[in-house]
Amino acid sequence: MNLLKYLRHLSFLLFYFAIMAGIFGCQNSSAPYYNDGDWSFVAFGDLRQGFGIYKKLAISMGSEKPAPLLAVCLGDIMLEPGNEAEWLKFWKYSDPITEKMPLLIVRGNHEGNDAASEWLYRVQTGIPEGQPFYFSKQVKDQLMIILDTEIPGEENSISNMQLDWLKAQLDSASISDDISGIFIFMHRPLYRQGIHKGETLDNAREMHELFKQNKKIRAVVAGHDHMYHYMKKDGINYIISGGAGAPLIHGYGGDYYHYLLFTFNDKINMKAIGVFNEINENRNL
Amino acid sequence: MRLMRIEIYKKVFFLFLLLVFKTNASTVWISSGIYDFTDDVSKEFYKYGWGFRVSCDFWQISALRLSATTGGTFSNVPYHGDDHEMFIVPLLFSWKYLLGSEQSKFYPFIGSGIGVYAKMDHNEYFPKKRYSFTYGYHFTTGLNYKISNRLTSKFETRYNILISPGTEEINSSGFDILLGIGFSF
Repeated sequence: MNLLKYLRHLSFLLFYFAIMAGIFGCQNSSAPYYNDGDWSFVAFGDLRQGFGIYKKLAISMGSEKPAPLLAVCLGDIMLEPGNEAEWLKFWKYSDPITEKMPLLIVRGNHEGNDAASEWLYRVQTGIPEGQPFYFSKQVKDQLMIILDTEIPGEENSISNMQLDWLKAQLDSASISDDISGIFIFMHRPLYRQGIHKGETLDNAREMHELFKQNKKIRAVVAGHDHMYHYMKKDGINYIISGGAGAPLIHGYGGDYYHYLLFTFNDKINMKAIGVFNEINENRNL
Repeated sequence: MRLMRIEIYKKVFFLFLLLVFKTNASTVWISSGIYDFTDDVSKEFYKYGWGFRVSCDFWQISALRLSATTGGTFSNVPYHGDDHEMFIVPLLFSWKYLLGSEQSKFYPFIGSGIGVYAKMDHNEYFPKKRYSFTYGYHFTTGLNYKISNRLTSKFETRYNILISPGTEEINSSGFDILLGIGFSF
């Protein structure tokens, strides 16, 4: 009899929990996917050992349908430069991305620029000895230009040989019929935000003037500041995406973990998608 | 949100009053402490949770106790210029085995059990609150200290292994680290 009594109470408890569940709404929170373009690519930056958040974002990026054609990491993968264990962890958690699309990496200040860090960087990214860490890649009709703001002696700037190379890339792209748009990726932004607002790349003015002259530049995307930020200056879209796992900067807006999804059809759309697959920013460029 | 919480806790409190009086419960426990997430995603996002538990040892034979537990775990982290709130309501059924004599002042216990968990996430930028439901197992150990014949205090750690809901990748497994007080009837 006692057992029956306890079973009755147990069933009452379960019933009660179901009522509580009802209060909560009991709805399915399945992850939505927002890829409504003909094709797309994703970008993210600044993990700094936040591999838990990054793992979640990587799963979301890998789950986009149809799969993006490219992923760009905007640098600061690690905390300690030259740490092979962090590289290996990064690749492990990047599996959902790399199984579906190529992943290009922009060098961040945390990847380091001493000889040992650069050697490891080449080993991990497959950039051959003697080649610079800046390069370009055409995807469909868009030219993706990866810049390096960490060249030893030229930190926080795009100068000398890299600047000449960039000018040549922009000149040839501007007259090419195969290229209708250009995206620039770099780790340090021209114009910093958050607690560092007011600081700029050493030759930010020169770079901005260069970008202004090229009508095909669609966006300049950077990381470094652990937040999302968008600004338009003289028609150039400057985007900061530094929220792929590193500690966020609070108090200046844009303090959410995210990746950027760029979709292309008759227009170019950019969304900043959060760790719960929520859309935090939805903007046509 | 606040009204909903109050409503839930009014009902939970009522439920435990029923349980206490209907089952001739031996001991009712109230404890509070922190919830230490073990999954990387939860640990980095929520940092840690804090909360309380209300338990009822509703059946006993010798040194074995069966108990039901509920309560709430909360987390509030700055996110997107606002707060991201997380709220977990567990309902756990456990067995506990008391080691040593109840006559002594200190007596440790071990146990395990099963449970169901409701979780809610909310921030201003979600179109609506996100809910998930899951189940899990837990293993517990702790130390009781007898204050008087009717009052006992305890330190308890409980490892909650939650099965991730199929609807989201964030796993909320973690350790409850609790300090509590029990009243025996």
